Amino acid sequence: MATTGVQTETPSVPRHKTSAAKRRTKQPFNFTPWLFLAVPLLIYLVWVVEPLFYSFYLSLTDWDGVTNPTFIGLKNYQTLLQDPVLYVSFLNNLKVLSVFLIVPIAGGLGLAVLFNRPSRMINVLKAAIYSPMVLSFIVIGLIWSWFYLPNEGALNTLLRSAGLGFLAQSWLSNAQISIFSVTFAACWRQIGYVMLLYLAGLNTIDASLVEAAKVDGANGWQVFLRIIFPLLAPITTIIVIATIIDSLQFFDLVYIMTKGGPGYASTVLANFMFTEAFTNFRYGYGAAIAVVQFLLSFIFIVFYLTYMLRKGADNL
Amino acid sequence: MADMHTMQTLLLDLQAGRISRRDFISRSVALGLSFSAASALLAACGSTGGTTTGAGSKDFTFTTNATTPDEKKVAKGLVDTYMKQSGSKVKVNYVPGSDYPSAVRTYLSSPVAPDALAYYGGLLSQFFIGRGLILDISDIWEKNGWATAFPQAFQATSKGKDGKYYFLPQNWYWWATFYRPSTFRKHNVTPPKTFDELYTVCNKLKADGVVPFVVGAQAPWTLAGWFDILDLRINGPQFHSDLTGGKAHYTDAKVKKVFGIWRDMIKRGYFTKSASAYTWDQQIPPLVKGEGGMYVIGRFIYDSFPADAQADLDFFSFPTYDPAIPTAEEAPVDGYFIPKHAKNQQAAKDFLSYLGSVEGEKLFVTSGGGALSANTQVPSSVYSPFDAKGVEFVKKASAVSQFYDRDTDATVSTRGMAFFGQFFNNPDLDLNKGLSDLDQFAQSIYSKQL
Repeated sequence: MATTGVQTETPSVPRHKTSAAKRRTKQPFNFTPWLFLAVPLLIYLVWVVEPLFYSFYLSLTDWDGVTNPTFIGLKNYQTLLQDPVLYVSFLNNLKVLSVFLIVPIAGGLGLAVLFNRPSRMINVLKAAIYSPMVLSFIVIGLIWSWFYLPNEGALNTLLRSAGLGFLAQSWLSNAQISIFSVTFAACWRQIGYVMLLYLAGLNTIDASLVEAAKVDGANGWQVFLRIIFPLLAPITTIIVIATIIDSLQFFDLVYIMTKGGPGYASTVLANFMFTEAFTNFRYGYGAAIAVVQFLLSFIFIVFYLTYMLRKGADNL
Repeated sequence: MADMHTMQTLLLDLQAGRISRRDFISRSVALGLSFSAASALLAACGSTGGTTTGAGSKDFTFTTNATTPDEKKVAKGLVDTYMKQSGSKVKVNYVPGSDYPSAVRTYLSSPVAPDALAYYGGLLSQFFIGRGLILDISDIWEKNGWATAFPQAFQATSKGKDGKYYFLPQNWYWWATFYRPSTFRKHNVTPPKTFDELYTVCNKLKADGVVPFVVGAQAPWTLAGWFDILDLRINGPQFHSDLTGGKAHYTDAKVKKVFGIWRDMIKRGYFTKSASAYTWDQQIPPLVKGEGGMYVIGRFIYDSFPADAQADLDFFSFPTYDPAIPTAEEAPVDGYFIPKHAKNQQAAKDFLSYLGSVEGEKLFVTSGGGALSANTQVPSSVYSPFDAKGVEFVKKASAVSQFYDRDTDATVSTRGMAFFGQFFNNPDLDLNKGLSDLDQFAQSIYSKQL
């Protein structure tokens, strides 16, 4: 852009650099960050990137893990698209997504709003609600499967003793609800995490905005809906995208609690891939499922990265 | 570019000393490898040199899927006794049962493999035999005269398509309908012999508040046991063998008949409610406590039964449906084989000779092997009364099948068992569609194998 004639240079910075000066002030190529990165980058390339491409290659072959892979082109994908289990699994992923989006966000946000005040009692409660995050999925899966046992499990026993026996279900063996039961165990773990994120977000909200709204006569609910929730939008966006990616990769709890059963009622894409690759030893077919899962996740990961990078750029 | 598979075989032969260095180079070059590449490969992989026959030393490695402390104790006992006897040093590896099939696949496709491997019989080991990965052990079968010592049914599953022996069937166990006689006495019923008697017994138990058949179906193999026994009784062992072998179709009216009868039993409430919520062993307590009447399961339930209740555990053959149909029983067999490219083949063969011998089998049984000897020359005095009964039980059967997941191709059996799970939880599902989907899938797998 043309200058307006006002010189802006300071005495220490000449307006035109001589080429020698340019060479002198030009930064030497800094090897240090690359040296630090070299080892982790190498590990990443060998253990993450190469297997990724190997999986792409495997999905084009027929391999039983013992004899050599035979190249069969896109046949695995042809078979996959006609396999009803693919669609059942994907539908289950969507079911997981629906519950895993709504319950932790509603619950986490509600708890955050409730707990957004200093109090020792509330700090204890916050810690208690967050604590499931430190448990591994195996532990959560095992304990919740005992909790869900039809006759001896705590849930049905509690319902029966409260006179609500008619609500007692076979939580994990009822084909209709098994996937939802499993997802709920995941929500139990997730709520604390979402609550923590929203608590941090609530702290960034300018108190004067809330006060101004109250002065204008807004009641609590209107303050929440019109002021607080919109201001929490960035956090909500991150949680939504991360939840979508997580639900596409859902595996551990299903494997522990139902193994995808009964039949394929609670199978999700990752379980389907695991069964085909490691139980049936159809590695090519399993790789094709993994590639499909990858492509689905990739779409959302691109969204996420674009959003984060744009947001990051905006903040500069 | 040298064909990878043939190169791999050449490398394995070189390392085992079956071909000389010169042979290796000339064959590699014939495959298209450059001379310098072949020599580099030779230098890198080394060789035992010369033209040794690859007999190896007396020492060898043995890998087994013994998982529980009891199983490991038995395996260790066998190995220790053999080591003292033969002077060989044996390196034993234990791999947990759940990882075992994948581990074995890795061993069989890599240049370094254990010399002796435990494995499951039936199609599970035939999978490897059919791909030429297992050593021919017909010589020790002949040397030990085993053709007369092992039942024909076991011998059939140990041979490859070429009629040579590849597998040593070492132990087996049986499936039956297990019950507690005290529970039966309490409710005034006796083990049923026909389907009509079965329904009477179930109705009586149900009326008294006892679950006629307990079953834990979280892992669907327990349901496969049910499908098998119903199919064996209703359609007979020949049809069952045809079905699992891929010659008969799941859409056959005979299969629909089995599901029809099964559906009827489910709707009459003869099974545990919400069975899929329970693992198989979570349904043992109801049987022990008398809340459940019968369990169609394998002999291994005995080991999981509380010690003070074991004396009151008995079994009977599942009732007959049609007196004209021969009674078949399920008796899965497990055993050992040697990878084709094992280094210490003779030592491994000697070990297998010991395992299959009367002496080795006796030690296995008496040290708590939890199964029966496949070698029929073992005197029945070594068995507990319970196991002796099992031997008689299977001897009386006109035919023996292995079990659904050993008689059926692995991929098909997973789908089949998943279908059993679906059906069991929702007996009103569209049976025609479900069976036709399963059959289509099965045929697509079988046609690839032709």
